[in-house]
Amino acid sequence: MLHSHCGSLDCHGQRGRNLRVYGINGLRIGGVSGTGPTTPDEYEATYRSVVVLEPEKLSRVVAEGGRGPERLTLVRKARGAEEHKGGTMAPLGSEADRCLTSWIAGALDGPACAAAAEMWPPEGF
Amino acid sequence: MSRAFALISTALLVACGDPVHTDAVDALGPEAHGVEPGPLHRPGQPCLVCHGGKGPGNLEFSVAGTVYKYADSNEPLANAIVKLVDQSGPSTIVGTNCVGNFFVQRTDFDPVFPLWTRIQLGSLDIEMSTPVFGKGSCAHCHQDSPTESSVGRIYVAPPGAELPGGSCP
Repeated sequence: MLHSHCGSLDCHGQRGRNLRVYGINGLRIGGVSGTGPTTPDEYEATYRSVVVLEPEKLSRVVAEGGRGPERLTLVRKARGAEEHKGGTMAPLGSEADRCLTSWIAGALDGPACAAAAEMWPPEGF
Repeated sequence: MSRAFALISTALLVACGDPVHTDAVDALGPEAHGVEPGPLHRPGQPCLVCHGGKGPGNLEFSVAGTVYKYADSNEPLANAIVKLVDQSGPSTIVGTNCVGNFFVQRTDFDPVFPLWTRIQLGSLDIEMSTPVFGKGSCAHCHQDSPTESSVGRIYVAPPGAELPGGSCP
């Protein structure tokens, strides 16, 4: 979900961001952007980038079973509840939002994540 | 005292401009020999550095870039159609010129990202595999050579494929 919604080269798939998303559509580790699958090292690097954004807050939210995820800047920005240059990428209640918040809660909503893994153009494109 | 400080600070900001923007413009280098500023200049460069609203380009673009025939040559793809559709539905169509450049003025199309893109030329119909999320300069992500932070230039055909020519007058 992070790859498709956040990780392009013109957003969080670049070195200039504190949240960096590594993978096929963005920044690579030892690879060429746009080619080859996302590697385990890149998933790990993305994971580390996410968890160090607000480590104390994230720990509290996780410890409380994922309650109050809006305490996290990551969630607020994705939902468009806080200024975000990329706009609202995971509206409250959307599959992308359910994917993200269920992961934080430790109860991953697999179907929501699978559905959010792709982005589709407007009808008729 | 504080009013005077505010006035001095404002004056300094106006005088100095935006050093980050100035550096980005300077990094593009001079015009190519014999090419005047205009629709045919600086193919492959990130157009919105100068045409993004901060100058020095007069026209403000929302999306602009350069299309090549092949990944590994400098042959431009002229007369192709670039179709852009934004998340909220509006779309626009623009053609590539004889150096492969295309540009959309913000007054004509001010997209809500993400933006989906396809290039058409005759029977060719190539859809960009991912949407554009926020940068109107194609060259921001499509620099000449593929690297860890660039997917390489925009191209439409594998090496050796026959494509119509086209040259500048």
